[in-house]
Amino acid sequence: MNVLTSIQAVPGIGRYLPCILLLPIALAACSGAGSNPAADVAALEVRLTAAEDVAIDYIRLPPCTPWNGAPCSDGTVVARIRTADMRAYTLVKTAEQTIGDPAAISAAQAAVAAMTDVTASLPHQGSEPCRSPSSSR
Amino acid sequence: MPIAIIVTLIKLIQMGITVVPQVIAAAQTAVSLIESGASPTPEQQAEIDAALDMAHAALQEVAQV
Repeated sequence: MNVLTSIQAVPGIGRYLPCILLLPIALAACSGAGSNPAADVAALEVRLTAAEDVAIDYIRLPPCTPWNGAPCSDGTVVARIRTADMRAYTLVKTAEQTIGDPAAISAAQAAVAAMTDVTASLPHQGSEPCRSPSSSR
Repeated sequence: MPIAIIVTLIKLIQMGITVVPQVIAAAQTAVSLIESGASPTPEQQAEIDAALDMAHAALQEVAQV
């Protein structure tokens, strides 16, 4: 059983997992070992997947109205998430299909960073905002 | 998108469960790839692709409501 599987077994940890998952990916990417474009794109895919998971939790919150307080989902933020996700997904898929094209990887990295920036400050039901370590890259 | 992913996605949405287990598996693969500097095998790439496709489809679905 590895560390991530052990973390998953902790009761009630589910909503924090996307935050936790980004840490080892960011640390591994920062170690300098990620010089393989295919591995870099795979890491980008997983970062985007984790960000999407955080976003889904936010979108499922009750819609914000003048009568309810946080946590709630703001329609404007949801629209930003949807747009950022679609752009990041498209560019990551492009980078995956054109492995070795530095411009495609750079564009995908920027789009995924934009997506994680949006999701990093989102409130979650019963939790503090998730500050993604990868959002600073 | 493969039928199996669509069926799984519908089940997850119906159960109110997000795609965390798939993300964990993909994250484990990504960390090992970055640490080793190796390219993903077709199976690993398929696992990562499936997790991303599932999360992306779920997000676009719930964001439409």
